[in-house]
Amino acid sequence: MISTTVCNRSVRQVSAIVVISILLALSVNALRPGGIPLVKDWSVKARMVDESGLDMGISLDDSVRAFEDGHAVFLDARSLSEYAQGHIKGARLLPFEELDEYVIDATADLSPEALIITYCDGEACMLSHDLALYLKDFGFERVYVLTNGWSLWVDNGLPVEQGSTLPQEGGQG
Amino acid sequence: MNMKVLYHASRLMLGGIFIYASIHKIIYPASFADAVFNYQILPGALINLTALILPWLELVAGILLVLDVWMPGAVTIVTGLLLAFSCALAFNMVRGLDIACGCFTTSSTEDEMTVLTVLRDSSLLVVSLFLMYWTFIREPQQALAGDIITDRNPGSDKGEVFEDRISEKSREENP
Repeated sequence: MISTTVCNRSVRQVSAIVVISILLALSVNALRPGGIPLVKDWSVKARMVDESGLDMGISLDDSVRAFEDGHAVFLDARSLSEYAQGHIKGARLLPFEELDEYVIDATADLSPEALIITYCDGEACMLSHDLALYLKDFGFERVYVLTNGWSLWVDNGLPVEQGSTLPQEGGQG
Repeated sequence: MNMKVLYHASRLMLGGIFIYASIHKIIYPASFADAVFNYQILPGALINLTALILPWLELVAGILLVLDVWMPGAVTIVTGLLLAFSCALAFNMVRGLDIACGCFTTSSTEDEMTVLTVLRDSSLLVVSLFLMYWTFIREPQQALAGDIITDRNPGSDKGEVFEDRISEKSREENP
């Protein structure tokens, strides 16, 4: 049978371990460089803010307008296989997980003022957001994120295409 | 195999794994917070706190397991964590969320979540359940048996021998 003495000891020890861990976690986080805030706003809107506090989000309507005007370059931050299965018409492949391999080909002909719209799939997908931040660091000034872009685009019956054309062959949307 | 050897091997292995798993998360809390967020289970307000405290809990419990100190508490925490991890993994596998596991590194590419991840966590759970059994049932029984024998033979150094015999007997009865 389970020993009650050991159970009581366990309850005390679990409490002590939890308290010690919390104290260690909070004090190390407060003292170290690069600590994180204890509570952060993880809402879609908050996640779309860049380092200087600018909102990088773009609405579907604005994206469609830019698409139709042909002013914007759409960058697909998902994987090659997802891109090959279907992507926004004319979008270029720039998988965030394989940036080094694709970034030069995908952006070589773009000026720093080019209007860039990144997207991936799903409300929680951070790839397009991370890609946008990276491109801003890279020197591009007008980078926007279409949250849940792929699903929104498909659900609204907007132009898509399939296949895995190489990034440099991808047209300007 | 001697059960005692199995016990020590289990606690060293599990402790080592927990220490190893905690290091990367402690060094890169922001990336681990992203991994926790990607699981889409916790409310936003708890994500950073979880990302900060969880790795330390793993580290402290792992160290205690390796040192064979505070075993009832450490084993309970480790089993609880493994249960929670397995449930979170299985839950996201079932609903088809394609995310990184965030189990051993915070990288989203090196640590992809697959059925194997769930199996790995479940096998660790089996090991920790064995440690639970040992700490909460087996060891107290042995201690009790040892006390009775030594009481009957005050001052006798045969107590230990009797204890071993009793443990062997109970092993035969409950293999």
